[in-house]
Amino acid sequence: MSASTSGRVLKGIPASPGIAIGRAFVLSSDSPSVEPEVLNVQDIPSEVARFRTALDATTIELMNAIELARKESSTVISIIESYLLIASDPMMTTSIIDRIQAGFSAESAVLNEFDVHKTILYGAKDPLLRERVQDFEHVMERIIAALRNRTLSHELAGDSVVVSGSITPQDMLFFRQLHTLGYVTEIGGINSHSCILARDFGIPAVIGIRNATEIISSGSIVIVDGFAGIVIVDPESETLNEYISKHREAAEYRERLGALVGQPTRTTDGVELVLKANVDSPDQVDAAIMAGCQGIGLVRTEMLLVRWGRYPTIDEQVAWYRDIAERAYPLPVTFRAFDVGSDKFREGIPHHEENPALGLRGIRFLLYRPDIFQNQILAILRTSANRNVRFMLPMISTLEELEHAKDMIEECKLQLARDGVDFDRSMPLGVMVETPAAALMAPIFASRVDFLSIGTNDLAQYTLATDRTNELVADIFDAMHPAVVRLISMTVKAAHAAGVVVSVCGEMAGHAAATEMLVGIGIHELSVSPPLLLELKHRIRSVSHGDCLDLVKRIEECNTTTEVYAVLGSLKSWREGGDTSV
Amino acid sequence: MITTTVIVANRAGVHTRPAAMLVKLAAPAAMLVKLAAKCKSDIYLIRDGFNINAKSIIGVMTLAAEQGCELGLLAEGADETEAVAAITELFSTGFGEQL
Repeated sequence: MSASTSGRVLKGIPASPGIAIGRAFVLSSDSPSVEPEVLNVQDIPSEVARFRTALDATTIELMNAIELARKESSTVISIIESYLLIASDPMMTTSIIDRIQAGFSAESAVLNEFDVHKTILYGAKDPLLRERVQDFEHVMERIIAALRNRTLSHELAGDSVVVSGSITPQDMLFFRQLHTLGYVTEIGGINSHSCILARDFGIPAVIGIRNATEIISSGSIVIVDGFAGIVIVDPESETLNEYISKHREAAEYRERLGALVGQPTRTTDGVELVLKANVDSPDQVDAAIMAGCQGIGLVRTEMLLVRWGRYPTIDEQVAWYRDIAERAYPLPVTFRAFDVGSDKFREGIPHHEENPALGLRGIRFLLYRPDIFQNQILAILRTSANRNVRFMLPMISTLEELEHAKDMIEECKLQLARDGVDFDRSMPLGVMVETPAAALMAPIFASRVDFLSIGTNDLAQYTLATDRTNELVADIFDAMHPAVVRLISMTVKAAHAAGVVVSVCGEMAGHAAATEMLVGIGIHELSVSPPLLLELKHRIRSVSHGDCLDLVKRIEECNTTTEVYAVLGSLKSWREGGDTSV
Repeated sequence: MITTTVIVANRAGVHTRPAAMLVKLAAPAAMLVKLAAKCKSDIYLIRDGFNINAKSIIGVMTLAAEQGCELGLLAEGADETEAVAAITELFSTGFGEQL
């Protein structure tokens, strides 16, 4: 490689964050031939024995891998255990031996047997099930390799970037022992086992680069950018230097916050909170999961309208919702119904409103246009089948609105049941508490839904009768105003009394100064944008619930926003540090 | 011989093994097969007239049993009573998924 070679940038999918710089080690895939090889009758018994030996070798290899995994990762154990179950499936063994006895070579018997099962899975409705074809392929490849007496030359892969068609979790475990720097693969989903392991192990990975094993040659310098999802082959020295410093920064960042990813969101005295992420698009889900969120607390579905510039059809909605719910599964995802008003999206709103914030928005608009609302309910219900989906109603201010919406949801369920369409019959339903009316009536709402979620910005705007974008009055707007804090407190008490979960998904959830107050008030869940997750977790892990309770008692005595900040500020001063900016 | 029916209660169904779930839960299909393999009896799951050997992971996966579907359960052998009880419990508790 000469310095004059200009770098080639390959675009893929970011699968595990981080930067890796090293020499490529290319594992060329040799896909086994599918030509049926026919045996002579006298060779059949030895062929059966050859298959049994290979199967035993595969089983032993997998059991050894599990042993190795015990020291490494519990994730990998369950993955390899399922391979072991496939390799020792009595039905499969019998069927392969039958094929050999019909005169086929062990290789073609194995290939044909797995092909049958792969075909069945490919035809499955559920894409998660279709992905399991990969499991069959991994096991099949191991058996074929054993039949051919070959093992991967793992020993060559140390201290390099592995480039391969796909990587099995087992391979990954061995590579990890050899301090592999990064992974580049041609295929694989971001939630494939290998990618999960790469993230667990903190090894940068980029997947989905077509023909990577042909484009990249062993020994060339490659940069794996697991943040941007790109691979640079034979980079220019300028690019290389840039990445060397990025690499250092990434390592420092990971050290600082990355260590918290797998840690519980727990106060120093053991009170646990649930930390979720707000997202506007499917790719943000991946970032949120990488940062260790425990669910998606808010999907702003009106982003679909922005994207399409119109109301999308049921099928278009289902595709988008499903993408999000599948990426997050088994974590729960809360979809909020279209929260539109004439200030955000005019279509479907009959005339100009003098006062959009007090006009036809949120649930009011949805009930005004039942055709649009019904389509969205049907799309959400269809998404809920076999996934962990919740539905949330925006801007509720009267009980009639909630009851009306619930009736519509019930009608949609009946319609889907009649049509034989699957959905989650017990999909949880919640309401946003964003108006003083909803906060004051929280006990009655809490008794009729599965969860409450407080939208702090709107609650402050409506409580203080202040448009925060109007600079003449903007200084009145503050979610820390005692009136707003009291309404939040009332809502939380109502939720506790009714035994339902209450969350905050507004800006306040991510506000550094508000964390202790929200913990003290008794919020169960906080939902913030993905980049804020780890910092918020860090803050929660550094406070004690007891101190937060004392703090809230003092805040409850405050009469002005300034006094509230003084209390929060004093807390800051006796526990040093902490950023009070948003 | 004992025959009964079980309902798939968990959202994931018994067939899938969503990758992200691995950290927290063993795969429903793997849980079922491991339990069945411990029993001495022959155990079959029945769907739409198809009999699937519950000790075969491939069979259980290709059964494609989703949430809400009803499966026949048949056990025959020395420990058939215990086998049916244990498998019924696994289904009714949703394979450990939060119901």
